[in-house]
Amino acid sequence: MSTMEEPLYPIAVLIDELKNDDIQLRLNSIRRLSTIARALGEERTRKELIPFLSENNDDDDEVLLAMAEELGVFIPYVGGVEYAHVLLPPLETLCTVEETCVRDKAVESLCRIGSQMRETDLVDWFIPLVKRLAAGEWFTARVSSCGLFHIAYPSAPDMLKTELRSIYSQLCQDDMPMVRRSAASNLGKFAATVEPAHLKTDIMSIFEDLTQDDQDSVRLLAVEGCAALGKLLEPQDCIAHILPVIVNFSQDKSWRVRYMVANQLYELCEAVGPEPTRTDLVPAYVRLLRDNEAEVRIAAAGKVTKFCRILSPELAIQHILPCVKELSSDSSQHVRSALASVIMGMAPVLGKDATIEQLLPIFLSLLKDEFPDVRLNIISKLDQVNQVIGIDLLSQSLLPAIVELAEDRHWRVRLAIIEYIPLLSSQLGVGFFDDKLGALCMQWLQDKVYSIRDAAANNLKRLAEEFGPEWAMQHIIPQVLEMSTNSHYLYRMTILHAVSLLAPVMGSEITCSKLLPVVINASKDRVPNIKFNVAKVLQSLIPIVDQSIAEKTIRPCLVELSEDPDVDVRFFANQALQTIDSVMMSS
Amino acid sequence: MSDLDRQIEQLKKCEPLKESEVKALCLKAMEILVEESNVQRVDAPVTKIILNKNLWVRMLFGATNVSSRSAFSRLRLSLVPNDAIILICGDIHGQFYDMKELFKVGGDCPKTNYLFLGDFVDRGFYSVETFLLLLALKVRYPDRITLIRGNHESRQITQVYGFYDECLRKYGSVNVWRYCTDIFDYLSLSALIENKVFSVHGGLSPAISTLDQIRTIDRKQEVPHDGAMCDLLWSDPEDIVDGWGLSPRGAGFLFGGSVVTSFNHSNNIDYICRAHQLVMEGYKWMFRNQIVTVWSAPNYCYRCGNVAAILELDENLNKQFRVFDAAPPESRGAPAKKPAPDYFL
Amino acid sequence: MATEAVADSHSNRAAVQATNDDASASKLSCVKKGYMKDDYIHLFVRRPVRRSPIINRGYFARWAALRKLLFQFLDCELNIDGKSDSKKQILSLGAGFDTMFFQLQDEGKTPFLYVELDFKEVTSKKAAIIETSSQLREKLGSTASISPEKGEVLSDHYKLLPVDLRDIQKLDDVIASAGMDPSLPTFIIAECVLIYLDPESTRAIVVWASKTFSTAAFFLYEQIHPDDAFGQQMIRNLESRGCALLGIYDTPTLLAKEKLFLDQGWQYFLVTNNARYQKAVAWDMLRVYTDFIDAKERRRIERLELFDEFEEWHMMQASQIFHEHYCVAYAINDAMGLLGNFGFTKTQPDLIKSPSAVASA
Repeated sequence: MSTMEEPLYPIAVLIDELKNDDIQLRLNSIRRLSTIARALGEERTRKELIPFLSENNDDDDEVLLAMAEELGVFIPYVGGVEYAHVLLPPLETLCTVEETCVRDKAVESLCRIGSQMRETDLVDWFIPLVKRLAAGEWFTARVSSCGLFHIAYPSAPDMLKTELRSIYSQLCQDDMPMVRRSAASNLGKFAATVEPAHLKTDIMSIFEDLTQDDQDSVRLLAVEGCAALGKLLEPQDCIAHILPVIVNFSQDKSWRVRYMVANQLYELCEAVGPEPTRTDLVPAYVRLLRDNEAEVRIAAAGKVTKFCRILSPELAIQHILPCVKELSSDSSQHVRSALASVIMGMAPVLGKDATIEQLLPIFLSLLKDEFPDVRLNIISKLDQVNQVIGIDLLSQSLLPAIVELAEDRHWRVRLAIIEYIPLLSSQLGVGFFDDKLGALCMQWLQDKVYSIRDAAANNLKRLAEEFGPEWAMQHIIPQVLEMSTNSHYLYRMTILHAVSLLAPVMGSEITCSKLLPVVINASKDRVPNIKFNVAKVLQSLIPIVDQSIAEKTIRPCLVELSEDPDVDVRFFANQALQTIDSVMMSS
Repeated sequence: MSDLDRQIEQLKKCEPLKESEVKALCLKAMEILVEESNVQRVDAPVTKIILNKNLWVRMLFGATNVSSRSAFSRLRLSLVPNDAIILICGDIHGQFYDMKELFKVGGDCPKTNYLFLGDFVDRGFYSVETFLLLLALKVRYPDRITLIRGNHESRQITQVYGFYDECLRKYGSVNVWRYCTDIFDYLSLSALIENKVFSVHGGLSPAISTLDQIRTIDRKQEVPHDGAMCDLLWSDPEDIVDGWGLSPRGAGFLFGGSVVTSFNHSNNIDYICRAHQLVMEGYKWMFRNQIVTVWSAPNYCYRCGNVAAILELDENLNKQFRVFDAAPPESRGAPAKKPAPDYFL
Repeated sequence: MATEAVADSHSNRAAVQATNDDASASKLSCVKKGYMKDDYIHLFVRRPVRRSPIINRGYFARWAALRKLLFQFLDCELNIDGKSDSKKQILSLGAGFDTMFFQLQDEGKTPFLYVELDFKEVTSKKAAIIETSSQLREKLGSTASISPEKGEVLSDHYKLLPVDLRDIQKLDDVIASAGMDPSLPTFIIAECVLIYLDPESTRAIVVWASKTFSTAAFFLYEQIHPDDAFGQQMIRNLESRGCALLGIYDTPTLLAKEKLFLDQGWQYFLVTNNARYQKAVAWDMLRVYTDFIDAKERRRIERLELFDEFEEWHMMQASQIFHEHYCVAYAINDAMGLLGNFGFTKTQPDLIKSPSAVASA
């Protein structure tokens, strides 16, 4: 159906566009490739379009990238799976270009196509392609080939399988480090397709070579392979072959390798199982937590909770906790920040007593950290601790710090505290709230930063919801209304905003008796910004109050505003009047 | 929701308008800006003006019953609103997400009134979205936001410093650049707040000693290479200069404290508020508080590491500087191919 | 997946190597605007870009400073016993796609030997580009052997060889296989190279160079001042593209750059009185630009860009900030007593008596 509606693109037009000087036009026509193919039909696509693309690939990287992507989903346009192989030649060329992202996309598309191809076609077309690339003269081809073996290998007959394994092994010893890197990073995927017998021999020997490569960038990728390979091996083989490698890597002379180990350690623990984790990997992890290089400590600190979860509490307390203490006063703010983002999660792992004795002091010191990210990271996860030690203790020990942060120099820290208040107050209960936090909540309404004032108004609404209108009538409304005559118009505006948020919670009666008069009064403000906000607030109050009040009190006020000299006041007043009219009509 | 309101919402998400929408928006903006004075008044005291305006409105609507848009806008412009409460902002330079941060600190328009001192475009990644949002707000709320011209609101400069390339990249043609640069010619050159605070992008000119001289400039043109109009957009105050000095920028002048004293005195103003120069602390007073530089592009060019500031004036012209940092990474959109700031590598 | 994880870390090889493409593109931008002449750099840039005037000017300043010092070095003549042997060699560390050799040849200043070292990833690409460009190949003569696979170019006067600079043991082999003669006067170039290495490696390279070449000038161009607001942002921006300036905290100031050389054995004897003098000098780029680069050239390039006469003052401000975060440092070993006239101020050599020299005097 849809093909009938698409305009017909003769190949000549496409060629014109693909050769246009304007890269945007070339790009557009490549992105429309499937439309063009549909218009041409399957046969002409195979015989004209694809060959044309194979020959015209000396273009801007951006165009080539789009081409590589489009071809990956092109099987339906060339006549289905049985013709999939016609798509291989243009992608093969794209696998050899210099720009990495184009090659990567071409490899991705080849994999996508290969995984749909029939087994015999794979042997006839795909495997020869992989072999050609692997023997390519220019390293780019060889780099690309590494990513294709896991598609090629399963369909290959035994002889060919042996050959493929040997080619891969050669790629791992290539002169060019880029090729070795690609071989290392694809080893896991390839290994997953190799039979167990060959896994222990061929693949493990390839792996061991890579782990001893003189380039740290290659070793780096071998680290990543550890976890993937570990999952393929029997546990005892894993312990015999993988574990020593990990322990070695954790002391590698290149910090980048150690960084990678720190990032991967959790996955590596899963690969080797619980017992070796305790005996071998805990010491390795402790070393990483105390690494000389801040980057390594950042990576290690970020995993501390995950790692503790796979240990017994005793081990965590004995080995990990002392490091955590050190890290909480690390010289690098990024280390402290990484620690702060996960440390709250340790509370459930360590249990109540250890949390109180050991973790709380660390939380407190991080809450006072000079770097705002550190403080923010702690505040945003307070609830996790709450569940472990209970609100009383939390409030006793942490609340003073929280109160201090309520006046933090960085407004985003203040914002984080405000957003935490409703949760905190629901857990603390009314009594505690009145004493400590009430004044703070009012103070935020007069913050210098608009977003804080806005959040403060929202906070009041949520508190009123939490503790009910009666409580709000006593503890919020009077204080708020008192501020409606503040000499600074920005603060008067905040109060109007708070009133509009509180009204629905407080209900019709209180709104009419307490809130509405204040709003009406504000309509006589000398600042037009206040007046058009009055109009907006009145509009929001219409559904809350009785119709009679709307008619008697709100409408006259709006009518007066609708004659204001200020155009915006008139605009919003008229909008509100329309709302009244429509409410009246519908009733 | 009107088209304009929808466009404002879209621009707030940093999504540019369609070319045809830009064209229409610029036409509307032109209608409004053409009526503005070269010394746009942002006036108080509030009550007095409202009285006067009421009078005028009654006269116009009651007696002559003129209600056409242009007649009304002329009224608005000759009397000009409203109140001194205003936030004054310096250079933005296409740093859209940092401008959103500015609104988070200062409050949204129209809730708060704004005066932007020019240099909306160039350098940053989002000159198109930045300028169009400000322009759309201007069209939607002409009384709540005032835009004056900076030296980057120019055809020549935008071709070197990024706005031209950005339009070409985002629209595939330079039509949007043409519409916008045509609008630049209509932007006012300065603003006068309650007769007391003179606001301008760059600074003073040896060709100008009174505000009335500014009022007589025919501003609807490309920024000239020299002369009064050029100087207003290009000049800088400079401590070590006595009187007037040559500017290393090649346009405008350097002017010293005595120049500012005599200008402020003869025009009966308290101080000059200007932008144009990066100040690492966001704002900087000079010459015994007779002139202040306000800079509103934090981490300028994503490279300088500076904080930004806006100047808040309340009903009584009390001054408060609001200092703010660049938007944190998580509140920035992720552009597809974000170019890194250039260094010498 | 693995590459992503690597990109997360703040410094990686590919990203540092990519700075080479960035630099080449910037140089081409300068060439196109007329800041400098370079008939070859376009061959190494896949996608030309237009840089802002401040970047163009900065690259010009660096290029002009390097050339002025290099020419001073090449012009230093020894006239003992009436015979002058002007054989000199140049060693460029982390040379990237630099085209200095080809330019020197065009200008009739071909040195006896010009050796460039870089990572194999870079030298392979460079060799491949040279191989495919007849314009470049011709400059190397018919006997040149070019192997992109080995990342090598070997010609009479020009050698390009792959090495990881951190591998000090290999450096000796590499310069030997390049045919360098350690006793010849040698100009060593390191533009934005050592700063990416860990401080130990940098020191090792500086020591190695000092021990290896007895008459030499070491030219260093790189960043300083990581600690103020601009510097911190610079560090963050470069880290986020994977190029951590691993060495900057070790030599954060001009003084520290000078000390880097003085502590690793760079010093020379003034032949006349046999006293030991140290000579390592570091200037920030603002000073280099205003006080060292030829004033006529400076005036010429300041008029180059259409809008340069309108250059905004705040950009000048920014450019001050910018320039103060880059410096040129050079150090001298002068066993032959050849380099007396080398340095920032020709007329008044910047001789500072080292404390040890004072003490022993």
